[in-house]
Amino acid sequence: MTLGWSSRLGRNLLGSKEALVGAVLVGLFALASIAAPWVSPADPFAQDLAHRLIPPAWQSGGSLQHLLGTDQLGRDVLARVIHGGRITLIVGFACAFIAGVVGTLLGIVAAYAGGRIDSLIMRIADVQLSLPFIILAIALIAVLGPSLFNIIIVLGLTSWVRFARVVRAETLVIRESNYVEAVVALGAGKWRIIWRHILPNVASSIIVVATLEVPRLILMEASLSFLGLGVQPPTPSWGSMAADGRTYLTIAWWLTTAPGIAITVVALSVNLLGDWLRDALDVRL
Amino acid sequence: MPSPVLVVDQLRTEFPGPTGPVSAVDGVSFSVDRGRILGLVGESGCGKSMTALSIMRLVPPPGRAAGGSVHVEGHGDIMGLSRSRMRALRGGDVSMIFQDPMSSLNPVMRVGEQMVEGLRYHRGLGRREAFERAVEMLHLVGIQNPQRRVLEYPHQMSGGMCQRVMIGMALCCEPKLILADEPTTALDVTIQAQILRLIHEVRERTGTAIVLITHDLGVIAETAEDVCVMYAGVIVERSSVRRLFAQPLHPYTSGLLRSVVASHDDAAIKSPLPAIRGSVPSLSELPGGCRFSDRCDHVMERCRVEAPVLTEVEPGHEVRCWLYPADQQPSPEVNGARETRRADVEA
Repeated sequence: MTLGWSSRLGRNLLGSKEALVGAVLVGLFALASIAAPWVSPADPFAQDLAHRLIPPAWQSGGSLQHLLGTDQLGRDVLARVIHGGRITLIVGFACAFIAGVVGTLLGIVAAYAGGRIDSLIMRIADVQLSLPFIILAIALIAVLGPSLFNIIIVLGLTSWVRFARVVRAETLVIRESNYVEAVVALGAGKWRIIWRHILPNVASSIIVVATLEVPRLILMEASLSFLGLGVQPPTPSWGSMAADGRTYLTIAWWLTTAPGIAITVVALSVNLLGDWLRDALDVRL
Repeated sequence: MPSPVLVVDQLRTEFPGPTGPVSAVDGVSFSVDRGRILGLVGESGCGKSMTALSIMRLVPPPGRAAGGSVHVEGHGDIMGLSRSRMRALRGGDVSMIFQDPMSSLNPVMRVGEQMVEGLRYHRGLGRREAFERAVEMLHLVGIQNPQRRVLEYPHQMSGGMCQRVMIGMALCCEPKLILADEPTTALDVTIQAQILRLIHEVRERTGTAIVLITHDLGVIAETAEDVCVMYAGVIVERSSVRRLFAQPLHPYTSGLLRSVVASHDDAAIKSPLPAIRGSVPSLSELPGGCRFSDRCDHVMERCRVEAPVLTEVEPGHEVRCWLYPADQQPSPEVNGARETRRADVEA
């Protein structure tokens, strides 16, 4: 006998093809990232100027030693994609998590406090949304210095707004609902209501926003790295790899395409997984 | 000696209005003894639900309590209780059930989970114990297969079953008093009968006092023993159910009774439905004197000028109407307490 929600997830996942695909792909990428040092066919930092710009294995001139070819410094592309996945996935999920927690907290505080605090939080949110993200990021990174940790902070702190708005709106509605009124009449205090009644009901909206945010954050990280504001070379990240490969696009398309496809696949998988998760947690379906 | 579980005295609840504060509940007084069922009946907007919310101190802002006292057995006047003690009271000694059972349960929580939550908070039970008690409560309220139902979600249950669950939740901690706010309004008639029967059984088994709020006189007739009729925030008539239906004194009450069609009376069915003329006044535009004066068929000069007070016309039967002038001592405002006040002398 179990009253929790976690028991339903396991059963459901096997039922949905799309979700399974999404889960498997994300799982693969995640595993590869974690196990990068053992799974990677080569050292991503090892330069081999004698073997620059070798095409992928299936093209003429390619070799099985470098399945996805090499880049302009002779580094194995596949190895860099696998290692780069670490950065990208960490950034994507960690930032979404931070933004989600901060945003949900602020959304609930705004909804419950009302008045000035609510206005303050929402105005800050408005201002932040109206500032072009790149300008904000440039300013912050200029102050903090480019590093993985700093990107996570910057991206996390600038993405809370979408969560906060959705959570605030839903909280306002749920607060007035009949079942919250009934539970108040049975003696529930504010915190119990927030924890046991509001959060479970806004969870599905949070998941939907998170599903959209993770791919967006991955692309943001790519942009930042592209501009040189993210992880610094020679550390690989999918964004910086795509950026570096630009110059060689006409002669070595695989430099940009490999990380590009990786980004696309992960974004798609997260979307599939997120959709499924939202549906699976909805008890009414 | 009957022991009142609830004594409400001159309860007032105000809301800000366009021309100043209006009292949605204006000097309401009544008491309920152990094991009795008191009906609170009136049209929409008469203040009956607000009275219940005021008793629970759950008046939604911008409304606020503006006077009077509410004594609950064992807790004294609860108007002054701290927030944490009120929270312990709610769901503990005093419970409330609401109108629409389908929306009164958290849609993403299993029904048992919601009951367990209350039990653990109020009674400090462990998870397993609380779960077992929840199953017991479901059985008590007549739900078949409680072990299975307790794991279900509200959307998997019918309206009647949800209301039974709500009643079960209200009973979890053996309250002394249950405030039932239109518990059957959202249900169809056959289920309504079952729920009313359940309310009776609950009273038999546990001795809980019940305040039954409804606009449906039929429900009152069937279930309540005493009744207060409310209009525009005040009680206009109070008596036992039997006397009220046998001899309604207040013109509003008789108007209400007349406007119910007797289904066996063919002549009544074919003729136009009698209705009380006019409509319920807005609380910020009450007529001077008696609140019912602009709709009353028996209105007199005095009615427009002076507001009547609650007067006892026969033992246990009080009415607020100048048709029954207070030449004699006006009634004590609170049932059971034999306090007397000076007679209101006609000017």
